[in-house]
Amino acid sequence: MALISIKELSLDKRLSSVSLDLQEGEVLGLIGPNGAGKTSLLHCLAGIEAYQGEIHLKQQSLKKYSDTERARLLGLLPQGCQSAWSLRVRDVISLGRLPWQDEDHTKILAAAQMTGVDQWLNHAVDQLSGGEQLRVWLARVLAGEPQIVLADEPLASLDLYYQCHVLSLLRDYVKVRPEGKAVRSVMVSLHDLSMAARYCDRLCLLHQGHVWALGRPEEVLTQQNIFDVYQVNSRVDLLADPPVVSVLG
Amino acid sequence: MIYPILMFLLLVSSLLSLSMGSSDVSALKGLGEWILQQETLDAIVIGEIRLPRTLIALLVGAALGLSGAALQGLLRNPLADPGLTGASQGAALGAAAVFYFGVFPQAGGAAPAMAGLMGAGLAMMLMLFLAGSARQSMVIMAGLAISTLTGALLAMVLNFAPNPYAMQELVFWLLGSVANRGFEHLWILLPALILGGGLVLSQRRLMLGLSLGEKVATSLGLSTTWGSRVIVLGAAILVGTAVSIAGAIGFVGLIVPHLVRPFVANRPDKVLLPSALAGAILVCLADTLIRSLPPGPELKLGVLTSLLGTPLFIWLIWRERRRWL
Repeated sequence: MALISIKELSLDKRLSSVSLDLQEGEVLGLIGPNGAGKTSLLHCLAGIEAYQGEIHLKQQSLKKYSDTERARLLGLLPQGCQSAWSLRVRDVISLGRLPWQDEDHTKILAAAQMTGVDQWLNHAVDQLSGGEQLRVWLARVLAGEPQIVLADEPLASLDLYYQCHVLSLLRDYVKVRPEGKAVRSVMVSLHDLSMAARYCDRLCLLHQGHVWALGRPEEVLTQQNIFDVYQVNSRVDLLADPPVVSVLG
Repeated sequence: MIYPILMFLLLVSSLLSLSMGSSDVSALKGLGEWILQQETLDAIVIGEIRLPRTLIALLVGAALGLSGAALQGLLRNPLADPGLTGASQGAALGAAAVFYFGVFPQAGGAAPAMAGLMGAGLAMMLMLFLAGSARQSMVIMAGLAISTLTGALLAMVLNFAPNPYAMQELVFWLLGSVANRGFEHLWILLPALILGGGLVLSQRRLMLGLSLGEKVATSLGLSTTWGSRVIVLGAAILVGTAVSIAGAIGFVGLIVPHLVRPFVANRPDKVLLPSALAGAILVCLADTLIRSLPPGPELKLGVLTSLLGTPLFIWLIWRERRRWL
C-alpha cells in the first residue's frame, strides 16, 4: 500500500508534473544530476515548500495534516546541517522530540545507539568530525520515530565505511519493525549509483524536474538512461554482488 | 542547577541595594514595617524611596536580559542586541518629544516613559512591516534601518534644542538611570515584562528548533514566520519599556546571555529565564555600585554598564577567537 502518493506535483521551475509513490516498507532512492529536483521534492513533502499538485500521505491530502501531525509522521534529514550553537549531542537529538513535546530519554538514547553516537552524548556537536556530526543529525531524525524518513544526500560527508553503515541503518529502520509500530519507509536522495542499486528497493531517476524513470534498479539504471540524463557513458553490472555502476566518462 | 544560585544572588543583590543609601536604616526592619504599614522612618525610607528604585532596577535588568537572549536565539547570532529591534531608539525619540514639546503634561513624571513607549511601539511596527517575512537577515536589516532613521531624527531634535536645559535633561535621560523613579513607573514596567516575557517564552521550542536552521524547524512542525514575529514583538515590548523607563542601559542585553550560556549547555530555550534573572542581578548591582560612589555628580547607570560591559565583551570575543583558531 502506498504511504505517500504524489500526483502532478509542480514547484515553479524546479519540479513539473512529478508523479511518484512511496510504498510501505520500502527504501526509495532519488537519483539524478545536480538541479534535477531531488531536494525540492523532499522539501515539498516536509512542508518547507508550497507546491501545486496533490500529495497524499496515508490516503489523506498532506495539506489536511497540521504541522505537528505531519512532523510526527515525516522526519527530514536536510543536506548540510549545522548547529548555530555549540549544543551537546544529547540536546541535538532531543530536537527530534519537538513534535511530540517531550524529551523522552529512552528514545533519545535508542536513536543515539542506533547511529553509534551514544559515546558522545555529552560532547559538543561542533567538536565532532563531519561524518560523526551527520550521524548525530540522523539520530535527531530517528529520535522522533517518524514513519517516513526523508534523507537528503546523507552520504556526502561520510567515509566508505559509514556510507555503508548509514544506508544499512536506514534499511534496518524500515525492515526491523518494532511491535505495535506502523510500517516504515525511507526516501533517500543519493549521488552514488552503485550504492543506490545496492541499498534501494526502487529508484526514481529525476531529470530537470521530471521523473525520467521509476522502478526497480535494473529497470532504471540502464546505460541508455544514464547517458540520457548524466551525459556520460557507463558500465552497469547489477548482477554482481555488490552491484557496480562505473562511469567511463 | 543554575536557578538556586541565581535566586540566591538575586536576593543578596536586592537586600544590598535596599541597604545602600545616604541615611542609615535597616533594610529588613524597614521592609517589614513598610509591609505592616507602620509609619516609621525606616519604613518610609525603604518602602517609598529605595524599594521602587531596587524593583525598577531588577525589572529593567530582567527585561533587557530576556530580550537579548530571545533575539540572539531567534537570529542565531550571539552579537544580536535588543537595540536591534529599533525599539530603544524609538523610545528615546518619544521621550525627547516630552522634554521639548511637553506632550502628556497630565502624566507628570511618567510622561517620558509613556511617550517612550509610544515611540518604541511605532518604531517596532515600522520595523516589523519592513522586515515582512521575519527572515533572519531581514530582521537585522530592517532593525538597522529603523534604528538609524530614529537615531537621525533624535540627532535632529538635539540639533534644534529650544534651550540648553532641555538638551541636558534629554542627554542625561538617555544615559540611563533608575534614580527618582516611583511606583507609577513600576506599574508600566511590570505588565510589559509579563506580556513581553510571555510572548518570548511561548516560542522557546521554536528557538531550540531554529538552532539547526529554518528548514529543520519547519520540518519539525514549528511555524517559523509566525513565531519569529511573536519573538520580535515580545523583545521589542521588553526593550522599549525598559528604555522608556530607565533610558539606554547598554550592553546588558548583549552580554548577559553570554554569561549564562555555559551553565545551560548553550541551549537557546533554556537560556531565557536565567538571562532574565542574571540581567536583573547585574543592573541591580550596577545601580548599587553607583550609589556607593562618593557624592558629587552621579555616574549614570547606562554609562557604568557600558564601561563594565565593554571589557567583558572584548574578553568574550577574545575567547571565541581562540576557540576557532
